[in-house]
Amino acid sequence: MPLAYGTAVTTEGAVIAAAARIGGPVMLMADVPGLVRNSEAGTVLPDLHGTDDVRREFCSLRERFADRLAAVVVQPMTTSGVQVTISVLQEQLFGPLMLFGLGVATDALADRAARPAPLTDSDADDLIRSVPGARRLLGRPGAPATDLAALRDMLLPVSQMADHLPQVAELELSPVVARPNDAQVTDARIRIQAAEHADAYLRRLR
Amino acid sequence: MSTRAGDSAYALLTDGTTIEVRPAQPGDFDAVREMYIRMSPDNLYLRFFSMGSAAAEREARRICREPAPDHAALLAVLDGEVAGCGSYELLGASSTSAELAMAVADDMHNRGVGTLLLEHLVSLARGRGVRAFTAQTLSENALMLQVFADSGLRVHRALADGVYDLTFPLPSGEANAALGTYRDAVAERERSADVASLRSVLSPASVAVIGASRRPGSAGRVILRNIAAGGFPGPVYAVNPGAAELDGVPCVPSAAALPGPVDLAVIAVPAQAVLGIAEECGRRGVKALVVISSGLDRPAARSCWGSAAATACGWSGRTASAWPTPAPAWMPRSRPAIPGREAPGWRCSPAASASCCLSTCPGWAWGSPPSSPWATRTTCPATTCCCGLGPTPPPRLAVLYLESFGNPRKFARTARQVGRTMPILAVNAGRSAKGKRLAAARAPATVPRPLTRQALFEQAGVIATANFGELLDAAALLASQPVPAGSRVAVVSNTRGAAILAADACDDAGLQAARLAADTQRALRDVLPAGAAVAGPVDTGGLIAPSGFRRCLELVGADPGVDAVLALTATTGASDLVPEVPAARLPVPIAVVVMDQVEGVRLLPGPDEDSPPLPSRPTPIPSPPSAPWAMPCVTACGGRPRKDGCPTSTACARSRPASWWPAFSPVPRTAAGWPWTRPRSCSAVTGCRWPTAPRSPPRAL
Repeated sequence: MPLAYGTAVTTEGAVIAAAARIGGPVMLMADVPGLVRNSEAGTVLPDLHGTDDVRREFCSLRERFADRLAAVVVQPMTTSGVQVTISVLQEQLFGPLMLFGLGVATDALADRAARPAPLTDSDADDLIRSVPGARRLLGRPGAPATDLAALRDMLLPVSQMADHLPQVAELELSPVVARPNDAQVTDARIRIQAAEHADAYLRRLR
Repeated sequence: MSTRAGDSAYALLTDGTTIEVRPAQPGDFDAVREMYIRMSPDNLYLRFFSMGSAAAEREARRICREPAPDHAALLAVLDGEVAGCGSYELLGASSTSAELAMAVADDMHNRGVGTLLLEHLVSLARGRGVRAFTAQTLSENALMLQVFADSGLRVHRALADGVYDLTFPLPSGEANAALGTYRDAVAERERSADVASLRSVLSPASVAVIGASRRPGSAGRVILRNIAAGGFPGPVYAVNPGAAELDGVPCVPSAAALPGPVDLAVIAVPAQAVLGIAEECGRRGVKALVVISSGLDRPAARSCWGSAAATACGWSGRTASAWPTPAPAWMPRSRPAIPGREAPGWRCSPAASASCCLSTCPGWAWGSPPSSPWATRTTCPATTCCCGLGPTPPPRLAVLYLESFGNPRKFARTARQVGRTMPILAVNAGRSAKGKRLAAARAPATVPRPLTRQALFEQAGVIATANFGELLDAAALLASQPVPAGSRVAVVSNTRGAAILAADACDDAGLQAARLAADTQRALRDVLPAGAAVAGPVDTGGLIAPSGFRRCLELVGADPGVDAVLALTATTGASDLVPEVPAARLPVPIAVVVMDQVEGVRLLPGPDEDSPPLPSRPTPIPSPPSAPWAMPCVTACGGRPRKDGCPTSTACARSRPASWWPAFSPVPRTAAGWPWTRPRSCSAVTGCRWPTAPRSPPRAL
């Protein structure tokens, strides 16, 4: 699974060094135990240019979260591309469901589509294309198509995992940045719950 | 809802008989020993490689010990007697291999008991992390070797001294293709057993109606009258202790007093009396039951499966109102299924003998009462059985009414398989909050959320329609015309206003109004008077001759940029164009809008025997929802039979090498649950090994 490069550090010096190593603009993400969605909690600080920006924002994070701040992840700022969300939801009756949507997980839920896991190649293609606003991914004059094959290659193993591990109650790869030549996971979270292995295909009347 | 192997469950044998599969308990010792004692010496030898009753006694004790993680034993129980048992024992405390042992009672051979037990053991063992079964079988034990060979599992055999050492790896995540093959084999067995079990329900040789009362209008009486009036060819009996004859059918006082063999018993009595009668029918050898009784709870329904030797049971809540228009042949319809739409040729399949909720009477009569066997028996396997049971020629499409799902995943798999040979239409009922509440009142857990439901339909390739009218439109189109290859619809009309409205309606519905090629436009100009619109939408003008209109349709249909043709005809007084439309020979599907048609939808017969009929609707102008017809439903991907297989089938997994897929180790069973996990600890919890792309240093997921 292609992941965006990032490094978790704890001190001011290390943050600045990491940002300098990356070069260009960076993004800081606070690792605060208990906070689920970074973008909701305002712990993602995008588009920081230069040492001063980085230092200032790191200090503000340290002030806000004090001891709760476990680490800060420094990532290169991904400027172009379409943000999408790939997620898994286990439904009690239904089994695992793959969700695909535009935007990050906190955005309006209307812009997403679902398929039961596991997916075939063509299921994955259908899923990507059936999202309202899929045109942004499929390309149009002036905006090239994103790497749909890369998105599909992300959907397939996740759907396999959802099928094999009923304990994965919820999973979110969000945002995944889809670009013309690749797709990268920039943040991910997972919720595990004890669950029995259920065999939906067992021959039995019900 | 639990689908775990190892709980008590009912399943079907190959001949459609219902049998219970449940874990062995210490209390079963006598019954299991009894089965072994009754086995012939030959069979005992095949099972134990030796003669003598001591082995049987030891085996019964082994099977009936208290359940523990290192072993499991399942019994197949029919009529209170053990018909077979299967067990596995782990080869060591920490081993992931287990030795398998199976035995089937002498009189139960060749009915699928062994295979069923094997499937349940495989499911149980997979859930507990067992990776492989081993078994030893004498080379002359052809039956058992056949069970293993046909199971769909990969079996490795080694012969030594007349004994086969068998090893079957249980398909798991890594061996995806093997799992697909296995599930395909299981599904095929399920399909044929379903077909066998429904045969007695859908085309019985004899019927008994139990609870046919003297009061006209009661459910039992209505059914009896339908059967009698419909000219059911076989013997019909009524069970009523107080009457000698009802509707010309002789009565007997109880199920036990039924004179001849009975294939199907319809039980229409109050809920509290159902169980006793079901048991009586079972003893009487009735093959199938249909129970019509409100307030029958789930445990009682399950007891019916167990108590009767019956193969299939149907439940309905308040069915009296829903029942008089039933689908199967033995219950003739007392009124047309679709009032006013009984036009000849409308039937998508030979309807009178339609086996399932197919054809003109799309499942309404069966009601699909949830939390009942019917919910699964007539929805999901119904689509299955239409292949096996259905009339010849096979039906062109399947129509379902669904508001809840017994086993959605199995439904999706079956529907997808059936969908490869015929389109499946469903009314997507219970979408609104209030509708959903009403549906949920019958079966709370089985009504999925809209998103889930949509996902299910889309993956299964089911064409979901919002209402019955849309369903009829789509069914009429699919039943008569080929499925459009795309969404470019050419509009041909003899009035400009209708052409404009049709173009608008196409746009609203997400279809493209096709623009015609220059060649086509030129050819059209030769046929049409000056001033006619030829670029598409085509306006022929009101004075067009019938043959000219037909020529236009043929020219437009031959245009490579057109996937379907929508013809609109308004009566102008100049000529009647309607008969010309079916006469046109087109390589693409065509539908016609007849502006002054009275019927909601009708099929215009083709010019000769071979040509398909043509669906026709009245003007789209006052009813925008179904405006350019069912085309959007049909052109959506659902309409096209799927080329790829089921999500778990071999085809999918084979498209990529096994090494491409990540490996998943089971989450430890002790896991009590976690809150949302921070990314860095995910891999520690799940033990996943993700393939990572070679790129700049990745952050651990």
